Amino acid sequence: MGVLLDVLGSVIIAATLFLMMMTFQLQMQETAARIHYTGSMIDHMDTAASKLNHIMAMAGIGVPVDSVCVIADESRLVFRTFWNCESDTLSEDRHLIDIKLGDSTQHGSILEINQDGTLIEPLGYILYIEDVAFNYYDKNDNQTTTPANVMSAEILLTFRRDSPWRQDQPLRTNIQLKCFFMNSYLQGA
Amino acid sequence: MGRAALIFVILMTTIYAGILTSLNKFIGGVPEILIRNQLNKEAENVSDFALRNAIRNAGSQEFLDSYLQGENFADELTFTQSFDDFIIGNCRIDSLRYSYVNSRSHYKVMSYITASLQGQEVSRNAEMSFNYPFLDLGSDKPNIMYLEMERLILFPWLFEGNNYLPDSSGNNYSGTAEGFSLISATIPWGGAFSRYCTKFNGIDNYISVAPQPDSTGLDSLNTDNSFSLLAFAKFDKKGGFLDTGPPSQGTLIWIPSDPYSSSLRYKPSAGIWYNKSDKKLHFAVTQDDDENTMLEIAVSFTPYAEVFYHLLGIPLFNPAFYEYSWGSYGLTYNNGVLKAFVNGVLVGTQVGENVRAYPSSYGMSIGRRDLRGGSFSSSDFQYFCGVIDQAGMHDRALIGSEMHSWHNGVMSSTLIKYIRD
Repeated sequence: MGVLLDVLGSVIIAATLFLMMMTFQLQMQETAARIHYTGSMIDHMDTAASKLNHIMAMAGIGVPVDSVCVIADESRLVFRTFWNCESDTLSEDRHLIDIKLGDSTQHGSILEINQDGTLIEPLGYILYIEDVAFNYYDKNDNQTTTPANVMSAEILLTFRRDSPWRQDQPLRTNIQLKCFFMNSYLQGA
Repeated sequence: MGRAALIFVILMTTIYAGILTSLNKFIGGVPEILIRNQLNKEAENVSDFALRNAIRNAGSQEFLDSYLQGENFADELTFTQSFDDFIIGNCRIDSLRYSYVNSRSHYKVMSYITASLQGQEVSRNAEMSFNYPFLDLGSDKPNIMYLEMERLILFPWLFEGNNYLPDSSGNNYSGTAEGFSLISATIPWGGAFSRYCTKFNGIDNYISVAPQPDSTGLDSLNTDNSFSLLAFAKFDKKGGFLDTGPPSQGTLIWIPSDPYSSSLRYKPSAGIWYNKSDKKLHFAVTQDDDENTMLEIAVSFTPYAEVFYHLLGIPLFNPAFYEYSWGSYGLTYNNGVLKAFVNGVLVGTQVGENVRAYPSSYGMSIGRRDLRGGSFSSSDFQYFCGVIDQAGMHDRALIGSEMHSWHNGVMSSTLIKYIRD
């Protein structure tokens, strides 16, 4: 009887210790998941910003400065360039680059970057977008809506991604960046 | 009791192992993200450094003397500086590439960087140009047929199919270089241009463009109510071997109306040619009226280029042909109005009945007339002697400014600056 009580007592103590360790590890797991989630979102946003910055910097190569921008809407930007954004090389053909919010998916909307009507691969889409807003500026940094005057664009991107620990509470992150038509400036804007 | 305790321990250990594995996955992923970010930032900085150095080198006389060793800047001169151990932090500068066109002040430089750390690798390229020649054709390219001749055709007699000239309009009106060329049928423009053109010896060289009939079997090249034709050429000064013989010079573009018909074979649906006898350029369209009226504009013209010279009757290509300027020769037809253009400038207008042009179903011939169904001598074909390039057809009558910009678009090399980093 005494032995049975010893065994029962040791099992209870061991189980308690196990539960403590598991609780601790579960908390660590959630913390790690949060760090991973935050890190990957920051990485994703960083990549998205670099991509947009690069694409818009190539606007206007070989094109007269007042003919670079074709459409300057709140959620869509279209411009001309002799840079082939698909192969990332100078081209002998003029291309039309179209940046717009695409269809909604289970991972949020996709910000599409099209060249001559075709999605650029593999750089042509940015995931987890909920909303996008463009504001445009002329060479004197005054806000404008006239495509011929556009020399830079301020982009407000709202990212949305489901939380790894609370599926019903998606997390939203905003990023605001200003991208310049760098090559238009180089050509004497 | 002992078994129950064992099962309990195994169960708890399994759950615990699952938690640890999951934890390891998340914790393990974080450094990868951080490392990639760090590498990208490092590569960006090193790339800027490398590009700045390349720009400084490109303009340095010492560098040019040391690496290019007095090579002249004719055409395009490209030099790559490769490194095995140019390491900065976690980055390696693989190479710097310099391209000059015609002058040391017309250049672009490119840098190629790779960065690696703990199994992660990123690469970054950057380039910048200064007054770099840039060729474009303006906003519109010919949309029915466009032979840019941008293909080096070597030894076309060596194997079948090695004489193909693609149609860059996308309509598959590809051309076939016919006749004998010992070494190559196409040659570079030379000078600041990187284009190719096709040479015609005035004896048997021409380009045949096969028809692509529509469902009616007619109008394969849309010689209907409205269209434009244009080609660039250098007419050889002598126009063939026998300066005093029959006029072998020369047909530029010929869209036959009916090459089998004795009454129509010399009246093209549309055509441009030079007649050595009357020393005039002819621009013609045959109309689809009862009399098959041929509207024709003739303009005085004197060929000036020395494209071929002859040794014992054999035409030998003059490598200095590029010193002679290119000319463009085009026509537009719009509901009975024919207009002729030389170098993008209107040189004549002829007005006829408001009807379409004669339907064409035999493709196009560049460099000679298309004559069939009879016995014809070499002079009947009026072979072209010289070089031809950028031959195209548009499905509407371009206005004067468009013909001018077509000409300028091909001929102008705009100097541009750009940066990609």
